[in-house]
Amino acid sequence: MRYAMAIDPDRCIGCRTCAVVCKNFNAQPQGIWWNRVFTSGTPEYDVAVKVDDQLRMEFVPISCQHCTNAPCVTACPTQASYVDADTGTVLVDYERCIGCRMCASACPYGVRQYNWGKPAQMAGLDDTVYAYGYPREYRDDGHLVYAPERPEGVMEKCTFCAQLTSQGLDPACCTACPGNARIFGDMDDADSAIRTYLDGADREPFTLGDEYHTEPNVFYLASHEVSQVNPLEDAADEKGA
Amino acid sequence: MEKSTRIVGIVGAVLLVAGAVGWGIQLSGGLLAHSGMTNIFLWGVMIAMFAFLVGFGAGSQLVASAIWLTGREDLRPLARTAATWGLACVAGAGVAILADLGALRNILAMIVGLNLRSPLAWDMIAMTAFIVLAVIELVAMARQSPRTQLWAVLAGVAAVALQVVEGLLFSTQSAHSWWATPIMPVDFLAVAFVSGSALMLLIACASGRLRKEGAAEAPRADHAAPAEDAGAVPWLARFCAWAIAAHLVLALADLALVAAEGTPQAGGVLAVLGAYAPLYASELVLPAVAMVILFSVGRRGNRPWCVTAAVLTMAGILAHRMMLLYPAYNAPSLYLQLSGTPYTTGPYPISTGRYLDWDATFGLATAYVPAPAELLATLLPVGVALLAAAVLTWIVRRAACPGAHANCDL
Repeated sequence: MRYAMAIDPDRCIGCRTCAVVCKNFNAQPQGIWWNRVFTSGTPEYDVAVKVDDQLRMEFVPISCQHCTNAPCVTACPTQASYVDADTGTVLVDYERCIGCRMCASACPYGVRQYNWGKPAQMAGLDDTVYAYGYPREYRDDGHLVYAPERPEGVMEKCTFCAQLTSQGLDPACCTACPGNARIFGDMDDADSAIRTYLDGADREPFTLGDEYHTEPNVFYLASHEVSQVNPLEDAADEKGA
Repeated sequence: MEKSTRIVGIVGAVLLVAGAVGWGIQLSGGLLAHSGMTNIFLWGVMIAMFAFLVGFGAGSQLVASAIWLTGREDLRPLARTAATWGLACVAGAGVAILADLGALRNILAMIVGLNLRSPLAWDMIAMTAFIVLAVIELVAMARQSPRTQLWAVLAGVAAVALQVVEGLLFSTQSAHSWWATPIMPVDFLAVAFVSGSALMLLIACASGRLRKEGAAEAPRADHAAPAEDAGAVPWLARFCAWAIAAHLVLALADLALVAAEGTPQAGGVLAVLGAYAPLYASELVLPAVAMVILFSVGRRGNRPWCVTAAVLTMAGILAHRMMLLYPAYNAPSLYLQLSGTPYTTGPYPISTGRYLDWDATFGLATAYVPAPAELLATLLPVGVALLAAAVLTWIVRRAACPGAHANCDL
């Protein structure tokens, strides 16, 4: 079994629901984001880039790529970061992590999140703190890979919602996506949702950061041409002429 | 205990206590809460200090091994001093690594779950092997064992291995083009030669001055400047000058490779080098000036100039260690391509993990400045190194020279 995720930018409306649901469901402390969405080509959000005199805006969600050749797993001196042999998912055992940050340093995707000290709780408007997220610990073959109250000084990241997928359910980001832009499943199963989607797509899937040879298990589909003529520039050109 | 050793010990103890207070502040606020690091800038001044100290440790040992290998019997006391400082500095570097860990409570996993594919695991193995061999070597020196040369050579090999592993620890991280170069392990070795010889040069000059003061106060035959002092300073000056030359060639070759790479990542590195130009210039210019001094007046044994050169070199190496971090962490590693096009559109922001303190959830770079407690904590490994050097010097000296005459050590 090899869990993987496909992301179709044609279906992504840039609402960031996946990022918020991920944060909420996995009880990520304040300041921690396992999943983030940005507009390709700009550090700002919702800004188009100009390509061949046309404007184009493409949202790219990025979380852990669950690489087959994961540099974080190689770098981890204690095997706290490991590839789950049953699912191919890259996980972190909070009880083995010594907080050296080698894994995050080795990751080219910048998806690993470190708790700089005691994890900060979410604060409400009246300065009260509140708890949220999946309420129980989850252990994968004895490894503590999820805890609602995060231990301090350890690394955390996307687990493909191991506490859900172990029950045969999809990760929270896939379930919550209003555009069904995220498709999860077993790449080794020809009938799985992800294989069916990728096999039926008219576009070749691609992966991020190929120059790092990490063999990611998160696949992106090239978006169809969703560009438009820049009306402001055209108007300026006409005025100039 | 000799006056100079006592001074080093007292300074070391003071720094150790001050550093422990800083580390305590970090621990009390949640481990590492009082730091300037983020999820973009993952390693800070403590790791720079680790690399700084391990260079001095391995380099000092290399000086000791070189003396034994070249058969310079007149420099044997210097070899003992160098081996002592080598062990002390590596011990300090080990403390720096431990103090920088976020979850020290899980440290047992380094033994029961050791991942032999990790460069950090090999770093621990190399450091442990070095410490064991350096201790045996010091015991052999203290007992004036006929096998001292063998242990000195083995400790020297361990020092080389330690520096190569340190270099690999960085160069195997392909996510950072500033580090991912085969030059890195070689340059780590060159920097060790630079650091160790500069430290020994400083100690040789300082101990010569102290002896002169001692001779003025109480002129005795055994307080006269020993013959090895006269030979040690020019020898170390040449040693250091050539090491600096090798390091500068490697550093400039590294820069040329990044400049020629032509990738967006390399462009990011060059931009950061520009942003931190004064610090980067310091790492190149200060040792270059020191090299000129050492090749000219230094090799003739001019002590004031040698001290100046040694201090300039150390300052340059400290800047070099800090510049190990800025271009690596502040140059983004992930650039996106607009799907279905050949256009690389730009870097992808990272969550800082520091929303509460920084008010910035996502970013591409961190203008890292060490927090006050973080800076204070950095004194801990320095204090450990100095105190260990003083204690080891005293122990080895007592064992090697029961008569305790002043010429026994540098």
